[in-house]
Amino acid sequence: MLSKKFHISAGQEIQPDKQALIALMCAFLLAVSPHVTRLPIWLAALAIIVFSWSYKIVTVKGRQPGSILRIIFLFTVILFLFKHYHTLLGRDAGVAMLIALTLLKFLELKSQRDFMLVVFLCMFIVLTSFLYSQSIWLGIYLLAIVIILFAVMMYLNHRVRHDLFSMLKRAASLVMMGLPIAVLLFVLFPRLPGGLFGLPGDSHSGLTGMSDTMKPGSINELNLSENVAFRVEFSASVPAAKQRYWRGLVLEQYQMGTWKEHGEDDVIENQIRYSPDDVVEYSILQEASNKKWIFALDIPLARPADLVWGRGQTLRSIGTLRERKEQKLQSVTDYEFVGVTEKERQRNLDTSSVTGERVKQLARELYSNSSSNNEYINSVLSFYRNNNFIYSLQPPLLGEHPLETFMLDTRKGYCEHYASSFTMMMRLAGIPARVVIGYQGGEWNEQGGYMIVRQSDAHAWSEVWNEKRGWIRVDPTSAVAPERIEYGLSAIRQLVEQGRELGNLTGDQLQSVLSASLLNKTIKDLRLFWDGVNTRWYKWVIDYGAENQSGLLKWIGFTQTNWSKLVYLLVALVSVVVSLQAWFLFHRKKIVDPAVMQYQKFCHRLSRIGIVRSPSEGPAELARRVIELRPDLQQMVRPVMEAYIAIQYAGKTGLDRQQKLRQAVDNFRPKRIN
Amino acid sequence: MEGYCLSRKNLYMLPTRHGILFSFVLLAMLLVAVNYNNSLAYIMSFTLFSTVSVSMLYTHRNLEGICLSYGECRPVFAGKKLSYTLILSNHTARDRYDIGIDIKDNQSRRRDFTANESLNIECNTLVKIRGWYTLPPVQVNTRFPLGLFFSWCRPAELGRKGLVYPRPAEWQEFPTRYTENSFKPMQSRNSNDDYSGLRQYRKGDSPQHIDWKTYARGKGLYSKEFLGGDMPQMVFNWDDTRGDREQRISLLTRWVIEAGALGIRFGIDLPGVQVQPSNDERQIEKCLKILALY
Repeated sequence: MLSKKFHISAGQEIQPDKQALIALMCAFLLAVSPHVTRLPIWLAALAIIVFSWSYKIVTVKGRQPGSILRIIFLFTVILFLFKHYHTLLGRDAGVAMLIALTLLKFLELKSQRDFMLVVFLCMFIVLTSFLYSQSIWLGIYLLAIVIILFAVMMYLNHRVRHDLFSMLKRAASLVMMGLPIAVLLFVLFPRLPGGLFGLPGDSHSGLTGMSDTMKPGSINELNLSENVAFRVEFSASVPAAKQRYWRGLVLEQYQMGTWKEHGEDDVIENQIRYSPDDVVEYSILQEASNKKWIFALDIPLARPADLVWGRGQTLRSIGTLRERKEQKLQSVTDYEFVGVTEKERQRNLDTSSVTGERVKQLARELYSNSSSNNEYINSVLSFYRNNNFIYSLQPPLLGEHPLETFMLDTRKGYCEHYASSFTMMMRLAGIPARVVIGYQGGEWNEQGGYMIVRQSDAHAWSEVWNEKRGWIRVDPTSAVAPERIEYGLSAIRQLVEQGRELGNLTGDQLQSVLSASLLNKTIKDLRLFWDGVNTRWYKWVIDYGAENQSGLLKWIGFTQTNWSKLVYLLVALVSVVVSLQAWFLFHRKKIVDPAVMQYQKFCHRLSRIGIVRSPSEGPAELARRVIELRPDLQQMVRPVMEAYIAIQYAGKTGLDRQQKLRQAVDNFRPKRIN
Repeated sequence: MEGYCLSRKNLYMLPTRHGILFSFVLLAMLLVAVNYNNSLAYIMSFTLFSTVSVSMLYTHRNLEGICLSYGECRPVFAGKKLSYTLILSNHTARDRYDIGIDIKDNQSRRRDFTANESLNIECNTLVKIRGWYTLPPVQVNTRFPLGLFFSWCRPAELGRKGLVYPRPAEWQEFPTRYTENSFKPMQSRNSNDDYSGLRQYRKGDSPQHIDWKTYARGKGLYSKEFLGGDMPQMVFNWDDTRGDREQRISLLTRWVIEAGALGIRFGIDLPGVQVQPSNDERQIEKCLKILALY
């Protein structure tokens, strides 16, 4: 098609200059910005060197480094990267490599093609930042950086340079124009359930979930992270705070001061007796934890297909939870266990690693003063209550005999200490008991209609064997700090910060402390609102996948969905959108000549003083007639006519002439003479 | 609409090298999105893809509706540069950006122009052959807005022709019958029309009184001074010249130019075409046109 006769100017490219280089550098820095905290610090130094060098090359027309020097640079950078990451593969090292190589490309910017290539690489760098986070902020950043990068592309391609701001505006309108198609593609593009090639090993590092062991006294500060562990939507009523125990793991083995799951491979599904009216239905949206634990409410009843039973009627996922996952579950908070194996009973009596004679003596004493197991349980709880045990978020370390030291000496601790010591006190008296870890409580998001359970809601408690009802929950922490159970850990923290003693505050006192200031309440409300926005963002955008897709199609009316249907629908809708856009873009607006508009305005003003233009009258004739009738108007009429005739008949165009005409017409304000 | 207007029918589009490179980048991005099942990566790939697709519409739109025409073109002698003006008129409400204009023998240009504006491009071509010269076809193209697509029009033959007069020959004496002494250009001179000598030519002097002999010797223009006078008259005949056809035409051209400059009444007599002697201002153009097309 391209005639040979023609020298096609596609090959004639625009020589990049200083402004283009600066625009490109800014684009690069913006593209790298989400990565900054993860990159080795020496890359910043490299960036400074490379940038000043390439600036010098472009402005002073300096020489570019030769190929040997460039290869030396390349290998040095790769060597440094290898030293830093100990590998060149995987996500982190790969991203750093991409950034470093893009940076080195700045030293060999010769043609427009090199500039464009760097823009493309910047786009890819932006993409990699989503492998680390997909927050709302990054979503907004995505839109902004795409517009900026397109603006830089436009800037690089225009011989007649416009300012960068007008480029940004034009790029923004271009991106907005493309957005409908992007949305359609996002919604309807067929999704694969799994990845294509498998992911690098470090793809999910940095996720922290609940540990599967518990060692009271080994850590003297509790994790108070406000990160969300999971969110729950209830289909009917929401259980009271006192009943919101989210059981994750049942720990039965106590060795060397550490609680663990029992190693034996004999997990069975327990028989539960419950009233159907008490069943709570809910769906739990669990954040990625890199663990398998599912935190069901109290005792889950049925097991969804992709979960397995854990020890002690808990649920866990088959694979580790590397991504946010939603589960629909049923639980009961009022139940009785029916039957238990002798093995289970026996291993929950193990006291072999308890050291310290004084604590054993204490258990014997309390037990001999009790007439029943229940009375013994109460007397142990009373022991906590009456002996100045303190709920503390920073307890002292416990040392060699943790149980004895805690029960008789330090008497300061948080849930783990109480759960552990209480369970052992039970076992010392021959009552089977075990520790359960999970979460307790949760914050209700009124606006979003769901519950947020945070990492700081992590909790530990005990389950004690009752001959009639099977395993029953006893939370020794509530004996010391009932506020923990009622109001959550954040309340505890507030109380501690204010120097209040826990355990004996009246309801009113608590309310006055916790209702706090209006400001705090507003902040809390805002936080909840933001969490709601985030939750929707994750639910509808980030976690959008094959399931949502088929749900959406069902809603539209396609019952059976498959790839080809999706593709047909996508193609059809995209063509409709493109046709509409094309119509919008190519539809020619009727041109209103600004000069004619001004002339009409002039004629209108004339008609107000009684001079009406006849249809056949040309502008010169009209002017003559006006001056004849009203010689006093000559000064005002003449400039209008001169300007109008110059534009319309002498073919003189230009903004200044149009302006002259407009001014002349504006000045034309004739008064009627009676 | 005037001239040749660009529309779907005569516009083409292909991706540029950058566009092809970009498509590979886009594919890599989509692979990352699918492999990591990463929603923001999907969104980014789709946003880039859709923006670039829409940019094709803009590329096309940037050329669509432009009308091309050549303006008036003054005749020129062969061997000189023929100047002409290309008019790109934009009778739409759209601004046009970065329009590339390629005309044969002219350097390609890139221009912006605004809505409702016309753009005049001055061009010229060295012409060597007398007769009608068809002004070269025009190709208009653009890579607006992202440089990823290149749109161009089929080279437009605008149908406008420029007239090229024959190349004038070196100066030779007018035919001898007019230069011999017996020839009296001022035959009907009155007795009181006395030749009173030569003086330097002044602007406004009647061209009839210029001493062409002195001029032909390269000594500049001199006017003969008379007291009153009558017009001389010459008819240049095909047989007054020698050589091949082109040489003859060249010489006739030279004579026509010189006679015209002197304001002498002259005509030409070619086999089959005659122009009656006249000294009106259209006479030179008329004769030169006949010679150009003969």
